[in-house]
Amino acid sequence: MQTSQTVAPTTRSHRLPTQPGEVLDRSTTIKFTFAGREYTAHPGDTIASALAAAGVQVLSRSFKYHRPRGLLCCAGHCPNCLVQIGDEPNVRACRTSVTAGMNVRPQNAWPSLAADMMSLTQLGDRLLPVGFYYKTFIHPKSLWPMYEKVLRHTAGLGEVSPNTPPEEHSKQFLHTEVAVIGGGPAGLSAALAAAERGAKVMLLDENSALGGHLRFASDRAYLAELLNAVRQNANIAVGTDTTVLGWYLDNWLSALSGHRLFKVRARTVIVATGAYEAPLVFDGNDLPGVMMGSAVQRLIHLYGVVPGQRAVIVTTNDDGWAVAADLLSADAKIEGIVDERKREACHSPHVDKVAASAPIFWERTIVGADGSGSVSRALIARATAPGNADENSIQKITCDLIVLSTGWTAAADLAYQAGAKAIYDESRAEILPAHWPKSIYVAGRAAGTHTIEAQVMEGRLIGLSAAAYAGHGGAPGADEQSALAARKSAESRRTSARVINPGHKKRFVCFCEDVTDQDIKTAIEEGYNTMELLKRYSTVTMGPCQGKMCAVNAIHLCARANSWSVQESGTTTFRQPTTPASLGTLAGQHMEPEQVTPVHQWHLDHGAKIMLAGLWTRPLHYGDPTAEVKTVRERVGLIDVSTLGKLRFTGPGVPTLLDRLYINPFGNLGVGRVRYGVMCNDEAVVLDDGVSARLAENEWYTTTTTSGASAMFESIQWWMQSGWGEGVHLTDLTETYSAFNLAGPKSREVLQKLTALDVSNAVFPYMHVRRTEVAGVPCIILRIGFTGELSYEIHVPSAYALHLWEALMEAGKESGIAPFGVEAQRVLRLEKGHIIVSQDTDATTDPIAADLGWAVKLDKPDFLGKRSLVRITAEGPKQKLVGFKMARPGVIPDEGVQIVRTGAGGRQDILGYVTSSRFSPTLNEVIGLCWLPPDLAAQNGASFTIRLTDGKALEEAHVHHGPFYDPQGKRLKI
Amino acid sequence: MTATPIKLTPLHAAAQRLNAQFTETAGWRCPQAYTSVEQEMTAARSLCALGDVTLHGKVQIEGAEAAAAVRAALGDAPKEIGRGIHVEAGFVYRLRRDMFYLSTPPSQERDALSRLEAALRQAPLFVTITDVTHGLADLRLIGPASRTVLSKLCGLDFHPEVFPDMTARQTSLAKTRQMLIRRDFGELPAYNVIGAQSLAVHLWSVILEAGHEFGIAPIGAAAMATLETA
Repeated sequence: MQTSQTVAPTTRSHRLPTQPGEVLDRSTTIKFTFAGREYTAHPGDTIASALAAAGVQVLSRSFKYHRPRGLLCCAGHCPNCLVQIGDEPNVRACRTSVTAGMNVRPQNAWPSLAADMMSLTQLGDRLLPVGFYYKTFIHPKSLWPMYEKVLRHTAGLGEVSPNTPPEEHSKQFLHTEVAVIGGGPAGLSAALAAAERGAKVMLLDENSALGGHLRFASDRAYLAELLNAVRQNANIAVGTDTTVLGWYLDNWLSALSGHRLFKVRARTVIVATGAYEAPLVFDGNDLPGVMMGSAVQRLIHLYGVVPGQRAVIVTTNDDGWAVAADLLSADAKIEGIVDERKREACHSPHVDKVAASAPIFWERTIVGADGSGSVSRALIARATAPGNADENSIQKITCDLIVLSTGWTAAADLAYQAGAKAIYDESRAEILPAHWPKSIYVAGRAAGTHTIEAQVMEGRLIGLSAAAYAGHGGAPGADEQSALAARKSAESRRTSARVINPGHKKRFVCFCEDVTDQDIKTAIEEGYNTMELLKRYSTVTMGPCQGKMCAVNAIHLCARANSWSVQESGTTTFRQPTTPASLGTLAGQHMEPEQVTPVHQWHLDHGAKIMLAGLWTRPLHYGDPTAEVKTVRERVGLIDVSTLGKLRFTGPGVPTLLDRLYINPFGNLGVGRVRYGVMCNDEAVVLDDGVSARLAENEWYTTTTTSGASAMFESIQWWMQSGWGEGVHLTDLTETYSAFNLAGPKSREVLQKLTALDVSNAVFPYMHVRRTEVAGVPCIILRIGFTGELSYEIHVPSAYALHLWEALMEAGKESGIAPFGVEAQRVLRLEKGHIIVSQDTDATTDPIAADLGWAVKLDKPDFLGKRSLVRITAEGPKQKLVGFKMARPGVIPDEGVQIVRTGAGGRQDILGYVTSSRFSPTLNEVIGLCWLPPDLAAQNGASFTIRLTDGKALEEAHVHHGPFYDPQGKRLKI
Repeated sequence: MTATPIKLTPLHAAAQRLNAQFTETAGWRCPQAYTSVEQEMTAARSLCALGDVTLHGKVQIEGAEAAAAVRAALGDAPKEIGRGIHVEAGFVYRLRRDMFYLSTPPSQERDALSRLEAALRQAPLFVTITDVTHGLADLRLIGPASRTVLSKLCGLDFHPEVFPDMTARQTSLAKTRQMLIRRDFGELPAYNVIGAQSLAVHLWSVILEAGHEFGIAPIGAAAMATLETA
C-alpha cells in the first residue's frame, strides 16, 4: 500500500510575492476544507492553486490502481485533480475557483486519500490485465451477482446523490458571422481582423479572461495592445468562461458557460484553441511532482505559486528554458536542465542566465522518476536514436519537481469534428488539422504555429479570410500568405517523438484509465492492433481527458508495435463534447408543453383526477367513474371533449376529396346531416375515425380523435398538395372551438332550456347538425351517439367555453346533471361495442377486420385503401375484432393480455389478444373487445381462453356479437 | 336566460392567481393591471413586460387569390412573404403566397369579416376566410430585453437587420409552434407571440421564467394602451 507523505504542508510556503498579471486578490483570504483539513486561499485561487500553495501534492487516486496523483497539466485536461464538491462529483480542482466554506472531498479513495485500501489492487494487477473486462469475472456464472455488486462499488468516480435539488439551467440561441474559438494571440488577432472588415464577430474563450497562453508567459508582448483593441471594437462580442462543447452541421456550435448552454449559429468558424502539452512515457511518470511546463507557468504567473523547490526541467524545445527562467525568478533551485537536443539547436535567450546557476545536460532525456508517494529523484540518460536511451549512461538527480516541456498536441478537436483531416507533420512531430472544409479555419498553436509573432500574423490572415467568406472584404493576398508560410517553416521543432525503452516500473500512457505502455503492447499482441480496436480494448483515451494527454503517445506506441508510420496508425474519431457537460445543462430550462382546455381550472376545482392524453390534460374521472356511467345512462352527464380535432373543409371540391379520403361515401351527404367516417391510409390501415357534418353546400366540419388531430391535418394536407386539393381549403379549427358532449335521456330537456332552437326529435333528428345560439353564444350542435344515449355534442368558440359549461351545469341541476370523465366514457362506448382507434386497432388493422366493413363502399371510383380492401373483401380478413363477455364474475382481464389455446403436451398457442376490457355497471358483468381468428369470431357465444397478466391463470370468455347494451340503438334516437 | 356571455382568455385563471384587476373590453374580461400602470410602464420601457392581448381580433384569409380579396376589402396587401402593413382595419401580414393574417383591435374582426365577405360577393374568388380569434392566444412581449428573452426560447436570428419591424415568422418557440410578429411601440421593441390557445398557460409561464433574470413583469391593458398611443 502506498501512502502519501505530503498531506501536511511543508515548512516553507510555496506562495510567491505578487506577480504581474496574477488573478488573486491578496487583500483578503478565504477558508475551505480538503479531505477534512482546512486551508486558506485568496479570492481568485483555484482549489488546485490554493492546495499547491499549501504544499499539498496528492489530489486524487487513480481509477484502476488507486495510485496517488498530483497536479499535472493545471489546465483542465488531465484527470488528476478531479474532486467532489458537495453533491457534484468530478469537478476539476484546477479550473474551479475557491469559495468561502467550500467542502472539497477526494474521490476514489477509501478510507482516505492518504491511506487508500483500494491501492491493494496493484498487488493483484496480474488479475487485472488490459481487457480484463473480457477475460475475468466471468466464471462461474453463478457468482456474477456478487461480482457485479463488487465491481459496481469499486468502479466509477465520485458520488451522485438522487436527492440533489434541481438547479436552474437555461439555454440561449446566438447568431454571428465569424465565431472565433480561443482568445489567445491568434484568436484575438483573427477577431480584430474580421471585425475591422465589418464582420459580426463572436470571440469565445474558456478562461475567465482573454489572452490565452500570453496570460502566463513571462514575455507578454502583444497582450495589452490586443486586449485593448478587442475591448474597443463594437463588432466583437466577447464570451469568457465559455467552453465550446462541439461543432455540428452548418457551423452550429454548442457552448457551455456556467449553467447556460449557448447554441450558436455562425457563418464561419475559426478554431484558435491552442494545444495540449503532452507528457512523456517513462518509469514512474505518474508520480505527484511530475508536471507540465505550462502547468508550472500557470501556477507561477496566475496564482503566485511555485510547486517545488528543487526542479529538474526536461525539454526538447526553447519553451522549457523559459520555464526554467521563471523558476529561477521564483527563487526555486534548478537541479538540472535536461535538453534532448544538441547545444547548437537551442536558441533560447535564457540559456546564459540559467546556465549560470544550473547544470545543463545536453542530448539527455528522462528515463525514470523515483519517489515514495511523490518525486524525490529524476533518472536521466543519454538520448540515442529516436525512441531510445542508453541505459548504461543513467544519472540520478535529487529533486522534488520534474517539469516536462517535451511537446504539444494541437487542440483542434473542433476542426476535426467539422471534417478537417488529421495529418502527421513529420517536421514538427505533431498531428495537425489539414484540408479544412469551407468556412472552417484554424490558427495558432492549433495549426502548429508556435512563435507569438507568427501566431498573431496567422490569426490576422485567417480573420481576413473568414471575413471575406462571410462577405466582408477580400481574402488576404498571396504575398502575405507566403510571408506567413516562410515564418512557419522557419520555426524550430517543439515536440519530441520520443517513447522510452521498457523499464521495471509502471510507465503510464493513459492516466485516466491507468493504461501502461505494457498494456498497449499486450493488447496489440492479442490482435487489437489498430487505434480504434486498441482504444476500445484497452480503454486508452476513453477517460475524462478523452485523449488530450495520451492519444499521441498511444498512437506512437501503436505505430512502433506494428511498424507503421504515425500517419498510417491514424487517430481515433474526435467526438462531441470536447469537455464534460452535465445532463442538467443539456436539458436546460424546464419547458415541457402542456395543453389545457378552457374548462381545466373548473375540472381541478371539482375534484377531477387528471390524465395525460398526448400533450393534453383531461379529467379521467371526478371521484367515482361507476357513478358517472350510471348518471349518463339514467339522467344526463357532461364531458369536456375539447381535445377532439376539428377540421373545416370549404370549397366546391370537398365532396370529391372526402370521397377519396374516407372509406364511406360522403359526396351524397345532405346539408345539415352528419355521418360517421373512417379514414385509412393507402394500404387500408385504419388511421382515424370521426364524424363529418355538412354545414352548408360548400362547408363541412369534421372531427378527428384527440391523438389523431395533427396527424390527420397533415395527412389530408399532403394528399391535397399531391393533386387532390382542387377547389378545397382545409382549416384547422381544433383550438378555435371547444366541445362538450351532453349525454343521457335528460339531455334534451337541459339543452332546450338554453336555446331557442327546437331540439325535439322530429325537428332535430339523430345524425343531424345545427348551428344556433346556446346560452347566448353561437354554437354548432352535432347530434351523435358515442355513448349510446341521446346526446348532443356542442361545439362552442373557445373563449365562451367556460361560460357555456357553467350554463349547462346550472341548467342541468334539476335533471341531476354531473360531469363525467374519460374513464366513464370508455365504459359507455364499450357497452355499445364502439372501437377506439389505436387502442382496439393497431398499425396493421384494416376496416373489415375491425368489423367496420359496413362502412366500406367499394363502388366509389377511388379512395385510400380501395385496392387492399378489394383483396381483403375477396380473401377475408386474417383476424377479426369482436366483443366478449367473461364467464366468471369479477374477473377483469388487463388490456393487452393474450388469448390462448392449449394444445397437445400443454403447449399454448396465441390466438389473439384483449384490446379493451371493463366491468360494465349497466350490465353487471365484465365485457370487452378482442382479436380472434375469423372462424372463432364468427361463432356468437363460442368459448375461448384468456391468459391473465400473471402468465399462468386462464379464464374462460365467450364471443359476443353486436352492442352489449341497447343493440337496436333505440336510446340514441329518442 | 343566462347572464350576458363574457369571453375569457386562456390566461384568465393565471391572471387571477397574479391578483390582476380585471376590466371588460369588447365583451372580453381581461387584466387592466397587475400592479400599477406606472410600474408596468417602467418595466416595459426599461426591462421587459409580458401582456395578454388575446382579445384582439384574428382573421385568416386563404386562397390562391387571397391577395386580391385582401386588397379589395382592406385597401392594400403586403407583397413580400413575412411582411406586414398597417391598414384601417388593423395590421395584415402575408404568411404564404396564399395566406394572410389580419390582426384587428378588440371586436373589430366582425367588421373586417363583413368587408371581406362583401368583397367576395362582388368578385367570386375561391378564398376562405376564417375567424380564428378564439383559437389563438396572443402574448405581447415588450421592452429592450425582449429580444434576449426570445433568444432563450427560439432559434431565429432577432438581429434588427434580419428581423425588422412589421415582420411575421412562423417558428418553434419553447417547443411549440408559434407565429412571431415584431411590431414595435415606436422606439420600444415589441413582439407578439401567437399560437394555439391551449398552450397559452404553458407559454406564459415559460416566458416569465426565461425573462426572470431581466426583471420581466406582467403588463395589463391600461399600460399597454398608454404605450400604444405614446
